[in-house]
Amino acid sequence: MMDVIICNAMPVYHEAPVSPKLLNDNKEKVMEALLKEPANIRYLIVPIGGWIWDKPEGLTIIETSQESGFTYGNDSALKKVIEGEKPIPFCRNDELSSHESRVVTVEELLHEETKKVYVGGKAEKKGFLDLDRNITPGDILAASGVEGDFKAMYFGHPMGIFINESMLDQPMELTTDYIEILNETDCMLDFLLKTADRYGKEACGRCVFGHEGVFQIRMLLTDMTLKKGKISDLDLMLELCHEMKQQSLCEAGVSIANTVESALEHFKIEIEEHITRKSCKAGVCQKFLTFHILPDLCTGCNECSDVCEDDAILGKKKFIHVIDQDECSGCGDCMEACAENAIIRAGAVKPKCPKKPVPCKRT
Amino acid sequence: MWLTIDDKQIEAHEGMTVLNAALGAGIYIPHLCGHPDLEAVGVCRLCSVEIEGMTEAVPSCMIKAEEGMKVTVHGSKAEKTRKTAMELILATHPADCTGCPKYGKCELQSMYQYLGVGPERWKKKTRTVPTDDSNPLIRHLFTRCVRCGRCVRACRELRGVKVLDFQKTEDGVRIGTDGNISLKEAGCKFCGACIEVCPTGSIMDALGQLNEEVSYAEGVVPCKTACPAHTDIPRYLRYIKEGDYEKATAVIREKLPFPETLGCICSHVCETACKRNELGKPLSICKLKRAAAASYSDEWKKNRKIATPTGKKAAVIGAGPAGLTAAYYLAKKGHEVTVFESNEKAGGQCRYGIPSYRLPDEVLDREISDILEVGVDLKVNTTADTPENLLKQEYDTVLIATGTHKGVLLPLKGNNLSGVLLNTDFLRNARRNQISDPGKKVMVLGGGNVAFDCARTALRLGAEEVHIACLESRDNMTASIEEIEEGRDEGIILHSGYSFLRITGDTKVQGVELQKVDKFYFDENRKAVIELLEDSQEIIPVDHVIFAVGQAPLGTEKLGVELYHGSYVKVNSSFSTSLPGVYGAGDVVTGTKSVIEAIAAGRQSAIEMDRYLGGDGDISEELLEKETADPFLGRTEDFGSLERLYPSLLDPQERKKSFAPVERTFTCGDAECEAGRCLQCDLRLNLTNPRLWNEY
Repeated sequence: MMDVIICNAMPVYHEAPVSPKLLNDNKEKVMEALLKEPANIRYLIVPIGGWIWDKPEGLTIIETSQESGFTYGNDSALKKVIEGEKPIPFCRNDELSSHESRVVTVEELLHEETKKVYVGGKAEKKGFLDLDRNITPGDILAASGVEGDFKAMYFGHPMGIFINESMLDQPMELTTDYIEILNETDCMLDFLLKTADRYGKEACGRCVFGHEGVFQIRMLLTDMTLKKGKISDLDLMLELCHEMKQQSLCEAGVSIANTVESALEHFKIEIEEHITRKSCKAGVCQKFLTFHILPDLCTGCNECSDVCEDDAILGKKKFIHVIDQDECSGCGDCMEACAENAIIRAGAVKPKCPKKPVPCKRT
Repeated sequence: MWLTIDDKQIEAHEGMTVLNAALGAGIYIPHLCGHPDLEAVGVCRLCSVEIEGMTEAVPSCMIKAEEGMKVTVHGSKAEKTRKTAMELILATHPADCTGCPKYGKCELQSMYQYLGVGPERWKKKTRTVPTDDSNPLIRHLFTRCVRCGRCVRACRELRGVKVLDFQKTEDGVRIGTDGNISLKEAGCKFCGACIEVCPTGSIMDALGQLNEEVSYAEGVVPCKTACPAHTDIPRYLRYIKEGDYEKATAVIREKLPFPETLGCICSHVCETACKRNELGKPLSICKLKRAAAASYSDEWKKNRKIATPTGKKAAVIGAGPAGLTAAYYLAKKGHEVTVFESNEKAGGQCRYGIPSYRLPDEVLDREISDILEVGVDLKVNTTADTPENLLKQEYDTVLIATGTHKGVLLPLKGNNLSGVLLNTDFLRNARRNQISDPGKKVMVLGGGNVAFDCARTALRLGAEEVHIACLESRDNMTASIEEIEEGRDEGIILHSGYSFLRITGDTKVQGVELQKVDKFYFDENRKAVIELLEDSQEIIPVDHVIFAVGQAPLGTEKLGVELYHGSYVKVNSSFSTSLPGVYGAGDVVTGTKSVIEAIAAGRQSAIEMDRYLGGDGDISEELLEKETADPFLGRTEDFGSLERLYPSLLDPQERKKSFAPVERTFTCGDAECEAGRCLQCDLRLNLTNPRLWNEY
């Protein structure tokens, strides 16, 4: 007879509250299953405001903050919650000795055939979907649709996998609550950095490889988005991810390491080009945007080159001005100075501009 | 069981981790988050090792040793993990060790030196956090926090106070209080366990808190260090908190006799040193001591040791606190001790100086008999021979402890009139019930505790109007605040900041002329400079004047030893006078100081005299078993705001009519509450000191 059973209804991703939704929709069934489990003491852990019914017999409800989402994917952290402490993991799920206490998810209690997930990002049909547990990304895409051109699918914690166009037929097992669809307007480097940022903010920070590992990943990726990346950074990150998978205290460290490895493997070129070609194909990373003077609108008034502190604008009065991309620091002062709105910022698609100043057509 | 670490056979017992087995066998494995007194967590991975049968490197602090295990500390996988972990920690830690107060004592620095790696290949960024000096006693410099979590475990699990935890900030996770509230608000008990376990310089004692001139342990428990006899104050306060007065008194008696006497009248320097001063008022240590000692029993005498007779004889001149204390310890070392006292009762200043409304006769008698019963021969009404003669007779060593019983008479006009008395004579006669007429209106000259003793005694003997005049302003009077307030409540009229010009009268005292002091200070030659306010003279009509401006030793010129400053006995650092075998202790050496200092001097001189007589000078004793204090404190509501409790006093109008003790002892409940305010500064010294790598 187990002493304690803990039912985990806390979402890892607060925007993908699969467990709370399942609990809401199937409250009676969940209660029945939980009370049937062999145990002396029973707990149900829900987000704050997640239990709107009367206090049930034989069960203690604990409402707790959703802040550290990733820790709720770890069973030892939930053990801490029932002790009144913060959800701070102390070992991996498979290392937790289960003879005193056991953790089950709402899904496990319901024994459903399908896996409920939340699909977000650029999906046409955002929201909850019930999918087969063993499925191909192509099937998921068919169910969710995509706005624009499909680029990538991200499977969140605890999977940490990216799928690109060429992998849509790959069969996989769904264990995550959250899937994000990405299209041509998403930059994979930018998305990877945002994901790493999230881990930095929503994990516990207790272990060196987790806290400092994620920190280094964020710093390295940030430098890459700011045009300061080096090719050796990628090898360094992969080396770090390899260690993190072994040495992180809980599964969050493993899933971010998987995420980084997966992105670097399946979107290698797009990410590397930020370093090697100084180019952000999706036109998202700000530092990679270039300033251009549209020849059709330029009146050759010379205002822009007056304010340019880098001396990056060529041209004299009545000549179409040209920005020298090698000198331009991207400060944007010229754009403000131009009364004709002739100066624009371009991302992926660059406008046609003369290489040297030519006489103005406009006056 | 036996296991192999780096090809060495190591013995370990059941339940030991691989790390502890290695460290116990003198094999160094770096570790940061681990601490001998805290549960292992395996977060830093510096202790990584490889174990046969396991594919990856594992943290040795989390693996239980097993029979036949084969462990490699320096395998390539473990080394890689270890070095990477260290590099990652260093990448976000301030690079410069030299400015840090933990330099040389920092565990991170020690491991950095051992491993020889640096963070160069990573992105380096220090997360600067402003140093927090806003809390009393504890300083937070969280820029240096490495998230080892030791302080969190110490606070939450070991001590159970639960003040510190991991906090999310913009910059990452570090340690702090929930909601960033002050430590006091969070319920901190300022036990200092966090300071003790922190491996870097992130949690430290507040600036200026630790006295640099004494050892670390002495600086951490300043009350014990300040006490001249070094009684183990936190230990006995703990017993009082639990209501175990017998054990508390035994702890006090391990260091001195006269616990209840001191509980009544000690000058309690310990309270000035008490760290709780930073968090409200200090512990009422003196009065708690009184409460414990007042419920006396003889249990402690069972463990009192008296050595076999040595055949040596010691003479002690003066049965005051210094003399009796020395006699006590010398008798316990097996020597034959005779104490000569010229008055009809023993006690010295305690009897003939301090009035019985502060120190009841019954208490003094009882504690003196506890001393005499170890084999001290007390001869009252006997003036001793000179030390030289005593040595020629049967005695092997002599202690001069005659105190200061000659009152100082100021060269004031009219100081020879009838009705002028000296403090020493007045108080002694009052104790002997030899004062029939104290006068109707009495003026006491002087601003110290003795002046109040005289004034309040005169009041109790029947004087209708009692004045005190002193040179010092109210704030600079040497009398304790309690004396001043109690005297004021009894109706004593205080003229502070007045110079005495003369005593008026022909043959008998008729009054005292006073003038207001404008400025009073000591110049660079330590000479008193008094500037008086013009036209502020006034005559207070009185019929008796008592001088209470100091007292000096009596009759020391006849002793045949070297004197200094007139009549004080000169001794060296071993309490020895100019005559070999003759020692001096107490007020007769130092001038009028406190009873506790006299008792401490009595102890020290007994040590020296025992050595002189061929003994080992060890007067230490254990009157009760040493129990390890419970490291668990638990939470107490509003611990930081608990106010100091005071024992109640008798009603002033009633109490001034008799010599009944003015102050009652603490009630049991109050004593336990007050003792519960103690920060238990000594608990943190029970935590194991982790050894640095060069100690292996």
